[in-house]
Amino acid sequence: MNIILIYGAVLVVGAILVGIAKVMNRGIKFAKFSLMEIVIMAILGVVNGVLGTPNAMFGRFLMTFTGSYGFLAFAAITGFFYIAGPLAGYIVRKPGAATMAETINGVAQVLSGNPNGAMVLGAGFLQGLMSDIGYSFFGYRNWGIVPIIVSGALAPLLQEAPEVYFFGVGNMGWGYNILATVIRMISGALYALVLVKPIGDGLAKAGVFKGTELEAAVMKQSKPKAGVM
Amino acid sequence: MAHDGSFLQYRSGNSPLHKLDPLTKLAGMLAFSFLAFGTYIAWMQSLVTLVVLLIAFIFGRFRVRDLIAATWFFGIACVGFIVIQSFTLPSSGPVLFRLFGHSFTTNTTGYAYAVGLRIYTIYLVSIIFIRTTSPRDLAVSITEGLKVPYRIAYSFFVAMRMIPLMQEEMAVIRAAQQVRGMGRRKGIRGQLQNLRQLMLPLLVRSMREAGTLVHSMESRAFGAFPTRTFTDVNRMKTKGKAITLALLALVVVWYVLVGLNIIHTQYIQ
Repeated sequence: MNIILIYGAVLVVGAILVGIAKVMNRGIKFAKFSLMEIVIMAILGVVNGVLGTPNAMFGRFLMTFTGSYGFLAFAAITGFFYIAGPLAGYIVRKPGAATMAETINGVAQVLSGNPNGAMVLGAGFLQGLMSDIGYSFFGYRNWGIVPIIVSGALAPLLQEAPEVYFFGVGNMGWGYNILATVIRMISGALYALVLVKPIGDGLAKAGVFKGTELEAAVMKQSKPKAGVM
Repeated sequence: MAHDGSFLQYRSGNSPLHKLDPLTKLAGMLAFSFLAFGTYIAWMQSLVTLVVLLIAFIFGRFRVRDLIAATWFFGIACVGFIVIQSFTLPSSGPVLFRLFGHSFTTNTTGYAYAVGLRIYTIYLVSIIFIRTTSPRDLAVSITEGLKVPYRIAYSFFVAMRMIPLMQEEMAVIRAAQQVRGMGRRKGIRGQLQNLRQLMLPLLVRSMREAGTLVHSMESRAFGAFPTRTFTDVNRMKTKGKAITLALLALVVVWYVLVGLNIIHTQYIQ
């Protein structure tokens, strides 16, 4: 009963956030992705997936040798799994980019031997969806630090429900599961803060994102003002 | 993908599972994962694991030695998981045995065993899928069978093809950084810095290659038409459809039984 209530509460919170995002973005239409953008999202998803598999294995060992409390310890390093979504959203700057990158991330993790198996397919989609919701609160117009942090922090919200079931920690009670969610959200926000903007801007300056919104924004910022030598 | 000795990569073969279409295998992977998910009872979880092992040996023609080499570290981790969960979870049910002053009870130990074995089973299912399914065939099947736009499926395939290159690239970047005296930092902050140092050059190289690839694809009119034809498609045939339907029915029946409380999910009474 306790587990069902936890899942129910998570789903209600997620549904409310999706509803708010929908109302706030009523006028925004889904733009078509260019081939370059699709490849960028795919590569971000795959790189994050490949780098995430050793992280998942480390997490599994952590949980094995610290029992149920390892789930909390693992929560602290889960932020890395959520990077592909906020990063893809920040680079492509179109609705759905984070969802797509994270879904591909899930597929890449399954194919590169993630020990959590097919579960990461659903988890990837849910992570990406919530990352997208984070950006949508800012109308896909604000690309500062705050939307990136919100996107990273929201990523684990829905995704944690299947993990709670998978690792069988639902019986540990409300306090334990809320604490795990809060740690995950902080981890997601922290990783997004430290990695997304520096990596996105660094790559754009290296000239590998030609034709993307981020490249245009970075070039506009770095262009010297008229009359200044 | 070429075989490079890794246990977590596709290996070409002639087994029935290799010949089976990717979508049926994908359905199988999901079905067995759901079945493993849907039980906390020890003997049922053992049954699911046994069936998966038989599929690996009989239909995937896995060698025992290979399977042990691919999963032994996980087996040990799962045994550790079972032992520690049995120690840390609240005791419930009749006492099985006592060790170091702790009473191991049937319900708690059975639950820990089922959860530990579930993790192993799901990993095993993934290994079977990865080892017997070509990423290229999977991308084509997703396009043809699931009607995913081919630009998305193909882009994913392109990214998947780059995994071995990325793995090589990672080793080169790490070696180059070591030569320049950039050691690996410790602690959470150090790990984040290590990650940033690795990710940035890795992504620059990957994106450059991807950029060239995209120009090459677009110059060959890739994406100009809404549909695309493939020369070699492993389509889902009658056998695949029958297997998929049977697995779907099995999962539905299983969860109906769970819903009716005929198969129990709770261990604490």
